[in-house]
Amino acid sequence: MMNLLIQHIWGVYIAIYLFLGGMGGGGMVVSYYFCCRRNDNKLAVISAITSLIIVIIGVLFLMLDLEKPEKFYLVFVSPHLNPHSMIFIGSSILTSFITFGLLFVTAIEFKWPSFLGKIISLLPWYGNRSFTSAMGILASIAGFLTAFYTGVLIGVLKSAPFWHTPALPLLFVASAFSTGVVGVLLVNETIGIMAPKSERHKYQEYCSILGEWDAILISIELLIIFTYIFLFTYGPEEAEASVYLLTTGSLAPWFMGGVVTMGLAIPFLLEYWHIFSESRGGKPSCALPIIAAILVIIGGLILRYVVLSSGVMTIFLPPS
Amino acid sequence: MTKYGMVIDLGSCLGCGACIAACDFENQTPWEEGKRRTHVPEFIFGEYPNVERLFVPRLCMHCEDPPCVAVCPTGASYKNEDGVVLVRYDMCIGCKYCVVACPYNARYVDERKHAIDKCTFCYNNRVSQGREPACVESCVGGARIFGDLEDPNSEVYKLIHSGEAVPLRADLGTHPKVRYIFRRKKREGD
Ligand code: SF4
Ligand code: SF4
Repeated sequence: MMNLLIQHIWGVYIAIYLFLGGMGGGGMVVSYYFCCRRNDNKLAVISAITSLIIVIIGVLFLMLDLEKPEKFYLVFVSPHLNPHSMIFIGSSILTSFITFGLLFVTAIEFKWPSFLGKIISLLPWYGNRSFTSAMGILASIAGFLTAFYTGVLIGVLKSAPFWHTPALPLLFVASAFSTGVVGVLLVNETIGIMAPKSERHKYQEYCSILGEWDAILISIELLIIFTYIFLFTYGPEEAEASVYLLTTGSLAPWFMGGVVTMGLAIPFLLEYWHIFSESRGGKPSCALPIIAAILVIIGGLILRYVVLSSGVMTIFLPPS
Repeated sequence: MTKYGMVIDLGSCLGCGACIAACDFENQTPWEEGKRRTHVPEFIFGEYPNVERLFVPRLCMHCEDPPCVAVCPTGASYKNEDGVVLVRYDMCIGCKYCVVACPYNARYVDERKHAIDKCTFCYNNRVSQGREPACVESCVGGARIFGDLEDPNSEVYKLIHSGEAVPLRADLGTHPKVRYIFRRKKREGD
């Protein structure tokens, strides 16, 4: 076999960026559910803030990867601006995500710590329910688009045939929602631990709902991964090589071990077991979904990394 | 209108690497890091005694529909009025999207410029002054032929329109302006 060129320009930083963008975007949609469908403002506010922070940290990683981070503003104001570039489109989506997210968070009625509370309660939209709901919807749409964009950014490239497939953005969206859901699950548990005993059953119930959603999302993800990998075993040549790298080659421990087994199959079984034992009237506990959540998050990060590192670039030499 | 392009006659390439040295010198590439604007990889086909050895010089293909330009957010990568794909170094934020998007592995990060760099066809330093690119001028075998693809009298025009010089991976749809001759047709006097 000839020497293959494997993508190595985008590495860990971009993987972290894609992962955090997806997780934060997905988390925002779940926060909207708890605010405006469940009226649990505390969980909604804390999850939405966590989602915002996650996305902002992601953007910082993107900046760290730039050769000239101090010139990032050119993405918006360059005299030769290219509005078709996915980086411009993505940056616009991220900006609207952060804007709508902040408006949403500050509109929800919530007992903020003293100083912050004073400032936020001065905002004209604070506590306005219809505004909260509108901003929640907009932030959720922007969250979905953020998650989707992380896949499209890579998916539009024809230079690595393994990336140029609708399966990639779909996989990233499913993973974004899965990691977003388990992120909120962890927030929920943290709030639950600190809540008075009388309220704990509520958080227990949320834990089960989120665990159930995640089990569904994981099955969707597994289905996409299977289709994705299976179809590319039929070529093109470069994508076949990518599949080889992931399933039996040097990335197999990361992909088969880290993503498929640790990050998807085991969490699915844990969540399934939780649902099963609950239906049998077992002792209420969120232990299994929490372990699953941590594994899902690690798996989600590895997924972004292996997708980037398995990009076998187009073979254009030698001529046959 | 001018549209610059290059034809590389593989049968005339000796693999000497004079073009690489000339380019590194002319354009001060960070060659010590293995980053160059042109490379001359060697390929060996077949088994003894029927072995064929081929050198395939490669460089930026100066695609007519360049994916590197399509993905660049700031317009740092652009195609100029003569069809040459260039980088405005001061506008490049170094996101490296273009490096990942190029299907011909033509781009690299120049750490000294904190920007992307690539083959320019020596546009500013030579071609705009009526000279040929350094690699073309230095080629010992005369394997690199440079010219205007829109001028029917130019050699590159004739080689391309006779169907002799073809692009690599035309299926990618980027319409490369660097073309290759694999087998030269016999001519009168050959
Ligand atoms: S070969 Fe690569 S760098 Fe050159 S124009 Fe085409 S896409 Fe751009
Ligand atoms: S690295 Fe520079 S030239 Fe390449 S896409 Fe980014 S801004 Fe454009």
